[in-house]
Amino acid sequence: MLLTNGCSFVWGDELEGYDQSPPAHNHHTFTHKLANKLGVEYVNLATCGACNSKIFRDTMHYLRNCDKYPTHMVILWSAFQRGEIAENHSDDFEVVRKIQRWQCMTQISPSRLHNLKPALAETLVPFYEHNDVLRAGILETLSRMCDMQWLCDTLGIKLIQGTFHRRAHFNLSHTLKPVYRRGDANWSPWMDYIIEILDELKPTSRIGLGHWIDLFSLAERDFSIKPYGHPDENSQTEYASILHHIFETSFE
Amino acid sequence: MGILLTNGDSFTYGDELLGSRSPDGIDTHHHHTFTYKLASMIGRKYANLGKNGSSNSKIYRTTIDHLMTDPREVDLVVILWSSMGRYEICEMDQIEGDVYIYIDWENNMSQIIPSQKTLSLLYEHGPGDDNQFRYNTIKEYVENVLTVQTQIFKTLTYMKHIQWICDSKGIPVIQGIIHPANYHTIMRTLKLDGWHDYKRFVTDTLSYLRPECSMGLGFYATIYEQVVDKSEILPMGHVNEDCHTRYADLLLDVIKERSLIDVID
Repeated sequence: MLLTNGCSFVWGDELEGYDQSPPAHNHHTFTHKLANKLGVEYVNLATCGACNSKIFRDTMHYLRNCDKYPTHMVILWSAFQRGEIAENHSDDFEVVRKIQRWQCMTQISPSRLHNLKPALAETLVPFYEHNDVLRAGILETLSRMCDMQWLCDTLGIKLIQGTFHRRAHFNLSHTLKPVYRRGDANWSPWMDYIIEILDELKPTSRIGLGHWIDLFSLAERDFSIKPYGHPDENSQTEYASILHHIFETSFE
Repeated sequence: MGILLTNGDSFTYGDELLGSRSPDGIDTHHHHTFTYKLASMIGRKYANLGKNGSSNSKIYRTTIDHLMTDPREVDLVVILWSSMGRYEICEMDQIEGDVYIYIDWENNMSQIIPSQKTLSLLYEHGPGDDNQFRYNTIKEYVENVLTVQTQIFKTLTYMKHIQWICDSKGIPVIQGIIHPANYHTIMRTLKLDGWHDYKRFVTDTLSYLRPECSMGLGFYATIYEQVVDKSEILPMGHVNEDCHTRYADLLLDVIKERSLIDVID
């Protein structure tokens, strides 16, 4: 069985049929196409707007409760800066604000504060100014990627993981520039830790992070991007082929 | 034979015990801690990752990092989760205040320690916290964004992960909290109106965690509850060596009752 998780890119936002009720776009997703190539059933846990804590939590929840572990797993981690906050909301909150919530946790993206309660958004703006949510998010995400690789090795699951968008690689590379070790900049302890974690990750756990191509870059280079920034149907098809190739050639 | 691995905050580190916070950086208090005493009782060597000021995010990360990288076999993991309000932020410099209270600054991650008032979190000015903008943004975030429920949700999630990861690795595990007030706060949040998904998550998680992974959460007791006389509470709120000894005894009882590892009486 193939298990996939991630944000809207993995869920298949904007693919033909995504806006029907219930959504009718699953056959366009790379998950569906990859499962066909592998000849296995699939479960796609991805949700739109998911932060990486949620992606990790939901994956762990699935593994903890499944009758049989998946044979293959693909996780495309989302933007490092995203987070989540527990809030109590009225039943119609999701419809009014156009944002889905799970387990009382509102998913927060610094680039989409307009979806939040105005008071919450106003408080977060200065908070983001002082607190380096990018570096904190990179540290948390890469730690979770290491955890997932270690767990899947133990459980005998073939895991491919990486990032959904080239921005993540850009952000990571930027924060690791030597300039952040010089002069008044004092990021060396953080950089040393991150480099150590990156060294732990196998190439199959660094898709779009120095190995192979991320889904967004593939769409931009060879296919097309939908109006709200998601890869099109053909990108999903080609991405399934790339992932299939990696499964076939990088695992015993 | 493998080792005993413990992790937690200042209670696990053994803050205020004789020989802790040594000015030359070489602590000599370790034989007073429950970790040392338990390790002696079960005949194992130990690694104590407990640090002053640790948030539960840090405790989770350092536990997994250790399990992944230390080549020594681990026979038993014991984690005492800290006050749930704590969290961490990434900053270029360590604030002076953290140095005063012996909080290690690792990987540029600063531990933020709000005080907890029943169902809300407060952030107060600490020594050496001279950057007014930093103080204001953290205070605003702690008091107006970071709900108690967020922090409970995260800690219970970590506890679930640790139990399952240790099960998958075949490592016996004990988990608990440091203070009964943390459990009372969880119970109070379950009495609030609304919060249906949150309440379901909390009750599901509490029933998922085994008794030995719920010490102080309805099972057994916390290290703070080992205090039998107020004189056993040290000036900065930690417990004295007698309490550490009693807690080690309690952990040994749990190990035997739950048949976690072979121990010699």
